[in-house]
Amino acid sequence: MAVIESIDVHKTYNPETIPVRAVDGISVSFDAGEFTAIVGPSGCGKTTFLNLIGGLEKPTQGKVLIDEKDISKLSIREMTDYRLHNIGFVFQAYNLIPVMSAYENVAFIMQLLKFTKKDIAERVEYLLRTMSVWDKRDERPNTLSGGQQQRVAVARALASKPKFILADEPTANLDSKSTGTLLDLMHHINETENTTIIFSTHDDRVMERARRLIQLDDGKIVKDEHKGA
Amino acid sequence: MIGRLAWRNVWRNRLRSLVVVLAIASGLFGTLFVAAISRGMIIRIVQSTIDNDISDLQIHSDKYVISEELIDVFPQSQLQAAIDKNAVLIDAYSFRVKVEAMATSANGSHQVTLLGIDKDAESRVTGIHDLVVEGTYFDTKTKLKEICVGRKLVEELEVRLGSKIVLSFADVEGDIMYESFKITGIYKSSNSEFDKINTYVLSDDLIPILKTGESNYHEAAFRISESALDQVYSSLHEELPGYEVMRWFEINKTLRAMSSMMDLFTFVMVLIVLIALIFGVINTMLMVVMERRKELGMLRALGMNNFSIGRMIVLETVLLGIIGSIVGNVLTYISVSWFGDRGIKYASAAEGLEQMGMGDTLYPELGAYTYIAITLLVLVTALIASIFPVRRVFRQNIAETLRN
Repeated sequence: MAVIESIDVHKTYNPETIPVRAVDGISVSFDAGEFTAIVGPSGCGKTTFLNLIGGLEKPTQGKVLIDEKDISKLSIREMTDYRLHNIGFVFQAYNLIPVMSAYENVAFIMQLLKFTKKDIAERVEYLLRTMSVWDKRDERPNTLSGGQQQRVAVARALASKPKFILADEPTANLDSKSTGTLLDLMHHINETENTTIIFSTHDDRVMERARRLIQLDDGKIVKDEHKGA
Repeated sequence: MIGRLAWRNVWRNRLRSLVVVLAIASGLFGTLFVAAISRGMIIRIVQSTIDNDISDLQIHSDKYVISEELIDVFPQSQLQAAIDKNAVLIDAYSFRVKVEAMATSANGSHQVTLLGIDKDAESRVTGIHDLVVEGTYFDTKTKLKEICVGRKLVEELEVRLGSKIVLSFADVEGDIMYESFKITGIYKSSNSEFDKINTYVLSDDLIPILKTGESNYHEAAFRISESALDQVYSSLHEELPGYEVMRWFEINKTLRAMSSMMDLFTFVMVLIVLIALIFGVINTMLMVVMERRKELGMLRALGMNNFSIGRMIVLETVLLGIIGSIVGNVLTYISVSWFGDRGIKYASAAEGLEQMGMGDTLYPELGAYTYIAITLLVLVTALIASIFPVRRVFRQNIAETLRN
């Protein structure tokens, strides 16, 4: 069954002045446990599409269904709550909270969700150990390497056990070793926790490891390939 | 969690936060210290007027209050029962006869208020005996009638200790009396105008000349603690029909008006400083949220709701306000305590200050409630100042902030 489904989704910026069609009628669905890469040249609408299914933007037209619920009709408050409970985000620039340690960054989302201290401690330790940054738990982001920061960011995205993770070019700032490590870890999480992971990327290394490739161009899907199929 | 995050955010840019804290602290310190000086001045005027002149409460006959006729005296015995009833609450009291007179020396003359007093009773009510700078307070064995006058009058009449001056005044029958007195004491209070006008003689000397009758007085003055004042006032007011019982602020309405005006002045001054601070804090916090645009967008993307984001920014602003007001209050407290004990000599305006009854030294003073009120006002200011940055954050599009 589809966890995420977009039905004829459009997103047009500046509709009344100089319209820019960032997403132009995308209909696609993602099943639980998928490991998908959305690829395409810069400006093809990858990030906008991730924002639409992540509830960060509302479509100009069409529907985004999560578990058959149309999230484009949710209020700002409901949307925020929905993101908190259902989605993990990983950003290209890591975007960790600079005044918090690696541990606190990961625990942050769980605290927002009012997990117990014990649950937080267990989950954060598990994730940081899985991401091989447990020894860096007390350090602040500015003392970590790019790869370490991104691993902490992935741990943060997984902290609340979200239904799916949206990763916007997560390897763009990483060297090949860090990229390999990160992809291994995300594969591991995908398999062990059955978390749906959707990347946007130009990175060939990510494309190689993805089980499904969706290629966008000018806001439209031009290719949707299931590698195992 | 929000509190910890806000606290750490405050110290992210230490220099900027310190500048804001110092701006708040110096604004508060400046305002409060000026307020403390003003308050000290007013308190000194009020206190010296109460201590040396009007005391805490006075009683006159109804008629005397209207026309201040010499004849409108009251017998001490009529008041004694009411006084005895409140004896526990009354610290001291003194009966006075009072007449307007002209003091004349070989070199000049000046209008004065002549007060006939009982030396011992008056010593317990007013502080004039402590202010004697030359001679004694009616302690000489001279056969002449003694008079204690202010330093300023001595200068006006160009006389000195031991000089004789002639006082002329009307008695109860309207006859002009001329009586010679020897200056045996010269006092100097913090109010040169008071010193120029108020002269003291013994009531035993004055009453026979005035012919007001033995143990008949124009005025009874009382020292009563602040806490007991209203109670004694009510009791005496009830016990003594036909008498005008007045508390110090009813006798000298200017004193209370000055005090109220000074409170208003302080409030307006604080308000102006706080309004200026609001703009400073708004400016800083707008810079802060603009700098952290992407981070705040990320927090919202992760699921931190607007209420929590708003709470965090409000807390950051309030923390700056709290730290600023603590520093400002501590600086003020130390300065007010230091100068409150030692005083600030203001030699160049000494004469003017003395004319107003403040002496030549300013003693800053500030009540605890002022510190509390100011701190609360700063918190309100910080809350108001945080509205604008919070609104700015809420208006930002999350996806756009993340793209940037």
